[in-house]
Amino acid sequence: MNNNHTNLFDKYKDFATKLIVCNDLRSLFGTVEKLVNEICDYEYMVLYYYTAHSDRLFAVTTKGLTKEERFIAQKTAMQRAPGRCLRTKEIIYIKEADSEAYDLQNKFVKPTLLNSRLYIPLINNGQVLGVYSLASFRIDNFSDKVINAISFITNIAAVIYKKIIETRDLERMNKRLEETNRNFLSQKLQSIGQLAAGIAHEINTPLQYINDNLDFLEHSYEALSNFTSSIYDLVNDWSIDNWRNVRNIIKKSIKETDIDFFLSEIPGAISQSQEGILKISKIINTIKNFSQVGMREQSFLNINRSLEDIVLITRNEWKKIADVRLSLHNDLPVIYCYADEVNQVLLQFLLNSVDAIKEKMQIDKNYTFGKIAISTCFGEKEVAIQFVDDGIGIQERHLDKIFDPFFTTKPPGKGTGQGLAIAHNVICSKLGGDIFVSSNYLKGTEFIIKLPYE
Amino acid sequence: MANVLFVDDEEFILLGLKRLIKSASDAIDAEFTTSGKEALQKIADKNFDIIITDLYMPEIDGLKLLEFAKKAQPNAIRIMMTGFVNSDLEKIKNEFAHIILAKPVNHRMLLETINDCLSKKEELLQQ
Repeated sequence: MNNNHTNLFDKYKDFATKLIVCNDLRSLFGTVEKLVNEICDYEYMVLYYYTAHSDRLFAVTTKGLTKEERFIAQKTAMQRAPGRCLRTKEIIYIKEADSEAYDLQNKFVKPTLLNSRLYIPLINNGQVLGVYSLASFRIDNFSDKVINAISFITNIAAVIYKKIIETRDLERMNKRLEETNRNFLSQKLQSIGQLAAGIAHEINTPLQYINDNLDFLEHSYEALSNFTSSIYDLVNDWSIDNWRNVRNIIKKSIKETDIDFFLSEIPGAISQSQEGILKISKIINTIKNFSQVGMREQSFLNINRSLEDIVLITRNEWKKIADVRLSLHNDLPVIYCYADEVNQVLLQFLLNSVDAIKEKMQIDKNYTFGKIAISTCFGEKEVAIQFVDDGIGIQERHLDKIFDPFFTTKPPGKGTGQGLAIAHNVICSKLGGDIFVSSNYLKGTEFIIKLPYE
Repeated sequence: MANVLFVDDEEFILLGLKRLIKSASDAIDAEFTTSGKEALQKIADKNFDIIITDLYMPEIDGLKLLEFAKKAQPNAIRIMMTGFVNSDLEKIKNEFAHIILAKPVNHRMLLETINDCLSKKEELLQQ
């Protein structure tokens, strides 16, 4: 290896070392510029980034161009040499720009002055990421050696660029995922908080009458035991010989202890208390299902059961203002999912309907009792859950925004604008389902949720 | 004998109270209704010493009922009995009710309250 080669090798090694340590776009672009400056002189530089979905080249960074020139360069890039370079994936070198007719169309880049132009495709894994272009006033400014070196630099830069973008996207995605999970949790806690008062009431009601009934049973026991001891007294009284008299004594005792009242009321007191205890334990079981924060295991969920539970724990939210009707298909297939997520979403839809009814009541005095209908059915591949209410409805101009995070029409502090965004994330993104909405302002809203099953 | 009106839209609560009152005390002549409308009628027709009502009921709620009672029977003690713990109880106490009882109320407490209402009626009415 002669001296020249050793120098070149060291130079390339130096390029590569300096590029590899770049971990953000700013330092990458800066390093590329610095390295290219070491090799050659030029007046203009444009780095184009190619986006496949809009089929356009964007001027990511430039040197020597005015804002206007940069705009024009970007706008016409696809029709000019950069576009050609992109399509052919080959380096284009124009030694004398004037001789190239197609480039003369671009008046803003002062074609007569910019004689040498160099366009290098930025290729990563056979895919063109963009085009690096240099221009100079001098004719034939870039030698083969220089072009090779620049091409080396830009090729390494392309690899690093891709890596940086991918890392950034991954970080963004993780952040978004984290945010969604955090929002989901706070939404869940919020709805539990909202429901807590109602749930307390739902439990306190049966507690009240269970309490009263137990106290009554205590009194009943006293009355019955009093009556019984009066009978014992009679039985043990050997002095009695007049049975007519005995009958009268018993009759009197029946009356005094009010035994008929107790006998007729005890069965009701027992059965109603049993019913109350059943009610309480049902509510507590349902809350348990809902409050399992971070139960991170997928399982088969019976949507019908969920809906019944939701209707139960929200009873206090709607019982005075609306009728909730469930019509559930018996053989509904189960859905494999994170149960707490889906339960939360279904709960949200019901709470939304309740809010819609409350809102309508505020503006329509004749509307005193709302209707909510929830039904399930299924097809070959999907389960469908339908929520229909005759509440306030959604204004047409809001319809395309309702799934946006933080979009809400409620006054500050009332809604977080997270409910439907989370629903969309869970149903559509995570479970591959769909949500359809149709609404008439002031008439009501219908949501249909479709979930694929195995 | 104390005349007491109980209003609660939960039938089981009224049935429980009815049993309890009847078995626990001879000194209370109680009437019961699950309907706010019927309660208004009763208040319009008959004098009560004490009116005890639930807060949330369909059509006519406890507040409306007590507001009516305040005008129709200013000499009756008004009691709000509610399972809601976070309602604006302070406001209710200031404007509508003399006493607030949080469900579940045990029977000793209830009977004591009724007795207190009768013995300290004047004091309560002046509040």
